[in-house]
Parts: sequence; structure tokens; C-alpha cells
Amino acid sequence: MSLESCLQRQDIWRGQKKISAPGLALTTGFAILDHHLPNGGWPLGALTEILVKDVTYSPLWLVLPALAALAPQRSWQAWVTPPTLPYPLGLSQGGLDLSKILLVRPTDRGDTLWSTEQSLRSRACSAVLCWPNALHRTATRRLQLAAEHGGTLGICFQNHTAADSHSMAALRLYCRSTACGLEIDLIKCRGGPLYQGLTIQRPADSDAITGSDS
Amino acid sequence: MPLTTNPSARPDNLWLAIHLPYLPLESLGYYDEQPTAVYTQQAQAQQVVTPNPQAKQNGIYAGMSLAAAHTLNPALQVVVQDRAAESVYLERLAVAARRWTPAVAVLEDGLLLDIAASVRLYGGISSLAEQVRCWITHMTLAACVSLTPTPASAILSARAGKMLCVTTKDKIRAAMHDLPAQALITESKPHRLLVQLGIRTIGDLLRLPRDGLARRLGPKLLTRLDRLLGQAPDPWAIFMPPPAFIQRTVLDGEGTDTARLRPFMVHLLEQLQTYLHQHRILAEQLQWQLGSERGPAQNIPVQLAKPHREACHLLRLSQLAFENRQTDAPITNLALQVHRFAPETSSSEDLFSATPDDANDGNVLVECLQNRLGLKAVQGIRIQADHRPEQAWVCCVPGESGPIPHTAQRPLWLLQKPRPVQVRRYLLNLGGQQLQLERQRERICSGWWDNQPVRRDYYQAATGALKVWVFRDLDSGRWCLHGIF
Repeated sequence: MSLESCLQRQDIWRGQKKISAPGLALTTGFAILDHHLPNGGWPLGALTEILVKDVTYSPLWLVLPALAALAPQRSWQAWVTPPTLPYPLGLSQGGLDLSKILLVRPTDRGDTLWSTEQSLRSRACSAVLCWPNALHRTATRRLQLAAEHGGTLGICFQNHTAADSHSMAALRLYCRSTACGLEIDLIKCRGGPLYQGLTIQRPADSDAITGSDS
Repeated sequence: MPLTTNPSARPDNLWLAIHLPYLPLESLGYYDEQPTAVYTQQAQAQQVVTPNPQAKQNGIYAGMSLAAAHTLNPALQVVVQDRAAESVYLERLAVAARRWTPAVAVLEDGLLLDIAASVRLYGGISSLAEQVRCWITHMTLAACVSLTPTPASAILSARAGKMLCVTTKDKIRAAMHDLPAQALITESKPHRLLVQLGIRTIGDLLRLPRDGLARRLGPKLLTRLDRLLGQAPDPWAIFMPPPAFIQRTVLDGEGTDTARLRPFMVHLLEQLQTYLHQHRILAEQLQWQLGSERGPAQNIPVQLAKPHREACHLLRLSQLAFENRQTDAPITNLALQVHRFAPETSSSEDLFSATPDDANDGNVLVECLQNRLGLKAVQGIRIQADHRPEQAWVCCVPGESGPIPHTAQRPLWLLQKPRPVQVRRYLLNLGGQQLQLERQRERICSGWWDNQPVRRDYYQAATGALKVWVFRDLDSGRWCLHGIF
């Protein structure tokens, strides 16, 4: 039996082909990332964790095209405990609708998770961004279920130390800033293979604005 | 039919007018013995509206100029007329007057009561009139009360200072006979004509042919005369006191646990729902009060993003507001107050569309978050017109937006406190990485007016995928990180 005929068999799994995962996705606005993610974009109705070295420098530009595209669909886009001030002038130049922004800044950590879950579940938010300091596994499960229930794009920025802990999020990315651009490793990806070292160039500023319109 | 023989006879129409000659003074709370006058400012002239009895003794009368009044009595105390205070005062009086009849109308200088239905309850017309007079003289100064079968004649005689008590329509003509004819005419031109024609009383007017009167003095006068005699309909808007809901319930035991309050809250909210349905209004804000015998009462407001009526929805929000409250003193009673209402909005829903209303869902979420976290923790954000980056934003009500100015590119994140950036060998260094400055520079010098001036040169700088916004303070020469793109 030749190798070719062997590979034709149905019961041989080579681990390369993407399995079509159920659920919708929204284009990220970055061709490389879209190409490597199942369904070609951020999973909708699911939680995505983005791990970075320092949450103060969260790469907001990475999710900005998706946020701008989602904005007209529902009433709000909730920002739960952002590490510093999301600057309205810059966000509006990035194509976001400021009247949709709901800044939620509870003082208590329990309330942070509660408000994230409420926002994800409510169907009133097209996207929920949150910055919890650390997420327990049960918390990620609750948030993932809430996002599924509400059909909401949930994005959670975390410190890279969280990479070791277990998470129920549908997608986990690890982002590093390098000399050539932002290097992304897929740590967990439901319904698709894990790619390492995807390098994304930050779009030139004029592109960021036009990219959000398309 | 003499009044005394049949006190329980119910007249078809009976109106009671109360005229308050000193209303402008009373509404402002001037009851003192000193000569006082209320005046109005009309263009350049200041005119006396109401002098008090002491001022009248000095010869001051209504319509006199303020300068002339001051000449008559230099010690005269004067106050400017406040129409708003007058209407507040009258409305308060109207609420009190609802003890006599539910049909109370507010006039500009008094009240009008439809008391035909109350005659039997208060033991006949003369007894009722006496009781109302007693009540009003107790509450106000020199009020004049008049009872007649038509509203216009009651008002007219009360304003003329005549305490009439006329019960049948055919007697109005005789009762009105001596009243001044000028009271029926407000415009100044026919007013003068009336004097020139030698018409002094209403009796004079009634004697004249109608068509001539209408031609010379306007057709409005005829309508007024007909209303006076009850020959034309004269509708009046009935005063409705502003709604308020206050209910209190006493708990069956003492306790500090707010969760135990749920059945009592349900009970009160159901009462509220019924009340709102009856008045066809919606509640805008609720206020709970936890009463205790040992400590002061604790107020818990419940914010509603949108006026509401449904008890189950209000209960859910109230419970969220209660969750964060701790009480030390045992709660013995619970009260619910609603003072702010909104009119019911009638909307028709699409019969076939099953999609939930997104805007409505949005409000529910905001209410929910605000009630648990507080108003300040859930906000929107908008741009404020200011050149200083730290002043160019402001928190606002969620959903609010402002104009978007055109400026040079701004970062997505702004650090609320700029962080110092190290300079090593003429190069900027951020977290061990060298920053590449772009050539373009933006100078921002602003804010001299509120003691927070800035004089800075802003640059965009990059290291790898990270792009930041740094500035050099022109005064100190220090470099700081202010934003992240």
C-alpha cells in the first residue's frame, strides 16, 4: 500500500485540516490571523483570552476593527475595569461609536466578574472587554457560558502568567511585542490547530480607520 | 323655596368662589403690621399690585406707581410680585379645599368649587357656606366667599367683594344687577367706551339690546353675559393634585437581614403597581426606607433607567439595591415612596415580529448594573472640547455623545498620571527598550485659566509593535509617557 492511498482513507487524521467548528466568527481585520483561526475570525458567542506581558499595554488595536464592525448590532459595548482610561478621542478616530461605550468600574473584584457575566449574558452588549486580574477556572467557565447564552463577543485581557492555568475560554492567544511586530501564539483554539509565531504588523494609522469601515 | 325649610334639597348647580384679595402678599408670607405693598415691573414702570390694609390707610392703592407710593409713605416695605409662589400657594389651598368637594378649579386669584353635590353632606347650603367661610378665614386673610348657580357669577361677585348666597338661576339677574360692568371687560378700549356710554352696572348692560352691545363692545361680552346668567355652557378644568405614593408596612418581627424583607417588598410593590395602573402613570424613581426603633431610618433609592410599572421588574432592581446594604439596627418597618412619575407612553408593538427590543434590553442591563454597583461605577464616556489631553474627556450618562473634533491622531489609552520615561545617552528608554521618536511634533500649550496649565511637546514613539505617546514638558524638560496607541 502506497502512502498516497493510505492518506486517502477516511479514518486517517493528519491533524492539519481545520475541522469546521460550530458557531459564528467575525473577521479580525488582519489577514494572517483570520487565516489561522477556525471559521476565519474571532469566535462570536464565546470567550477569547488575550494574554500579554503587561495589561496596561493591552493591544487594543488588535480588537478595534472587530469592535467597530460589531457596534451597530446592539446597544452597548461594555468595558469592565479597564487598566487605565480608554481615550474617547483615540477610540473615535479608530472608528468606534462612543455612545455605545459602557464603562463599568466596580470597586470589588467579585462585582467585576458579576458585571462581566451580566453584560455577556444580557444580549444588550455586542462585545464585552474585561480586565480581571486573575481568572479561576470556574470563573472562565461561567463567562464562557454567559457569552454563549448572550451570543456576545467576550474578550478578556490577562497577564501572561495566566498561560499556565487552565481555562474554559474558546480561544487563548499569547501576544508578544517583538521588533518585527506583534507575535501571536495560539495557546488554545477550539476547533482548530494551534499555530505559533504568527506575526502581525500594526496597521498604519490611516489603514486602521478605513479598515474599520469595511 | 326658602332655604331653611328644606336643607337637604339638592340644587342642580351651585358654585362657590373664593377670592383672595391679598394673595400676592400671603403667598410671599407677609403678614406683618408694617405698611407693605407688592409691585410689578412693567417695562420701565413699577406699579403697585397689592397694598396691605396698613398701606391702604396711607392712601396707597393698586395701580399706583411705586414712586408715588413711596412719596405717600417713605417707610413703605415693597416686594416684587412672584406669580410662581402664588400658584404654589393656591395649589396648596386647592388640595386642602378638596375636603369640601373633589371638583376644585384654580383661578388666578382664588379658587372655584363645584359644591352642588356636597350640600346634603354638610347640612344645607347656608350651613355649608358658613363652614367654608369659617375654614377659609382661618387659613387666609380677608377672603371673600360667594355662592351662586353659575361659575362666572360666583367669581364676579367674589371679586367684587360681595358675599352672595344665591341658589336659583332666576335670582342671578337681580343679584348681579348692582355689580360694576367694568369687571366683565378686560380690554382697555371698550373699557373707556363703557364709561363714555354711561354704563356703570351689569344691570345697565342687561337692559341694552344685544345686537347693539355686540357691535359696539364685541361679541365676547355677550358670551360673558350669557355665562353669567347660566345661558351658555361654562366649562372649568378641575385641579388634580400631583400624584404621590407613600405606603408603610410594619414587619412582624425584628431583624437585620434584608433578604427577609422580600415578601413585604412584594406586597408594597404590588400596591404601587395597582396605584400606577389606576393613574395611568409610570414610576421614575423609587425610594425605600428601612425604619428602625433604635437608629435613624435608612433610605435606599432605586434608580430606573426608564420609567416602569411592573412589580416583578421593580422587585428585581430593588433587591439589587438592597444587596449591598448593611443594617446594624434591627428593622421594624418598611416604607416605599415614589414622588417622581412619568406619563404612560402608549406604544404599539408589532404583532408578527418576535425580535426583542434591543434598546429596551440595553436599559435593563444599565439599571441592573447601576443598582448593584452605584451610579458612578457605570458610566459612558464622551469627548470634551479642551486642548489638554487629560481634560479632553468626561464621564457621562451611558449613551450620551458629543461632537467629535478633528485633531491629530490620539492614543487609544490615556494614562491618568503620566509616567516618567528614562533618558539614557540622549535616547528614551521604556522598560528596557529603546523608543524611536517620530519626527512630527505637536505642541500643546493651554489651560492658563484654571491653574492647571500645560506646556508640552508631544511625539509618537515606537518600540516593536508597541506605539506610545510621549511628551517633553517644556518647563522642566522631563519626558513622560502619556498614552498608548
